[in-house]
Amino acid sequence: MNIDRIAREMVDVEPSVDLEARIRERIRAAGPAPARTTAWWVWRVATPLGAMAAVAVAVVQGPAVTSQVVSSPGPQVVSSAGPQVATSSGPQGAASPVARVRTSTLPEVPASLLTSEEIAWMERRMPALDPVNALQMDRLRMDSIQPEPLAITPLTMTPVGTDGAGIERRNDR
Amino acid sequence: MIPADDALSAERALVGDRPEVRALVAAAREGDRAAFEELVSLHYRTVLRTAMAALQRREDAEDVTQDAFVLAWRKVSGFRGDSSFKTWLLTIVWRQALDRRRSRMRWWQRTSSRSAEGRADEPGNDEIDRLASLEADPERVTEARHRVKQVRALIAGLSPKLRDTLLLAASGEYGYDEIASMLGVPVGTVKWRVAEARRIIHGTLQS
Repeated sequence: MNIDRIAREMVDVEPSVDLEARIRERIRAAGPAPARTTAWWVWRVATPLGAMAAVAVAVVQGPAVTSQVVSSPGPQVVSSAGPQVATSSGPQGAASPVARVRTSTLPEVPASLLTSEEIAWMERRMPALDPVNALQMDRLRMDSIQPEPLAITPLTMTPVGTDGAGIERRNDR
Repeated sequence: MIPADDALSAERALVGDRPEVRALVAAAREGDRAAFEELVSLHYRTVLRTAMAALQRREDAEDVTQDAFVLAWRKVSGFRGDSSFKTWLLTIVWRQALDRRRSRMRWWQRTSSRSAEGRADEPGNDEIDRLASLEADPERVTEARHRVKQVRALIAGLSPKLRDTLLLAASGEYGYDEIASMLGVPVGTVKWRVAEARRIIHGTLQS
């Protein structure tokens, strides 16, 4: 007795002639398929990572902006807002380390090869979007927090008495 | 246009499917209903047999088949491709069929008793008649028909785990790995269940 053959007969049925049509009709009635959604675990992973990235950018950018404001007034501000290609070929040798970080990641393309749209796009770039190389950050400068040397002025004492006669009189008592 | 990461996922996911199926699945994931209907045409017979293995009643199996395809259409955009599309689809229909079977447990008990009695409209009876007619000796004809009905009753009387696995394996539609994926058990468990089901039926017949 072939058990497998009999078992197969139990499931080997021919579908109704209209089964496929009914399936298609049900699918059409169900409407469009839902848009692809991001799996829940992606959000659970991406949200903390995004927050950490934002904090990291803020930490890296924070001192850079401060040093830029303090040590490189004027031209440095212009360099971040103006066409990057032009500033990279300008007097960047004297620029602050922050400015070097930003301009060093940009492609060195002559401004003449860029279209006006490209230059306009680059002018609109947000500085925060530039990749940040943490290894090229400013070193901590200890001199900025060194206290000023104490200026001690010698005290001048004025003696209470000049002859010492009163002291002797008290000891005699 | 499929994003790069999704395309990579789809490529990884559809290992085991034919190239034309891969293309159809990729289009269906993007919401192409025509592509999904092509997949329906390719798979609805297999899906129906899978439902039959759990329900053993054509009407219920066809209802579950429709429900499973509608559910698959709603979920296909999230198909990640951890298995082949066929395995993913059969897993859906299998779960749907088990839900239907649980909700109709009382009906199932009635069906078991009917299968022992034999009904002219049940699948397989034509085959029984055909096998019986091949026998020249009337006594052997009667004996063969009796044995076939007896085996059917024994299969129906197996525990659900053994019966489901035996029917899925005997259908010839799936490999052991696909059955294991559908049932959520290791491949070794599938093999053991099939062997155990056969052993029980053989033992009962010999006794």
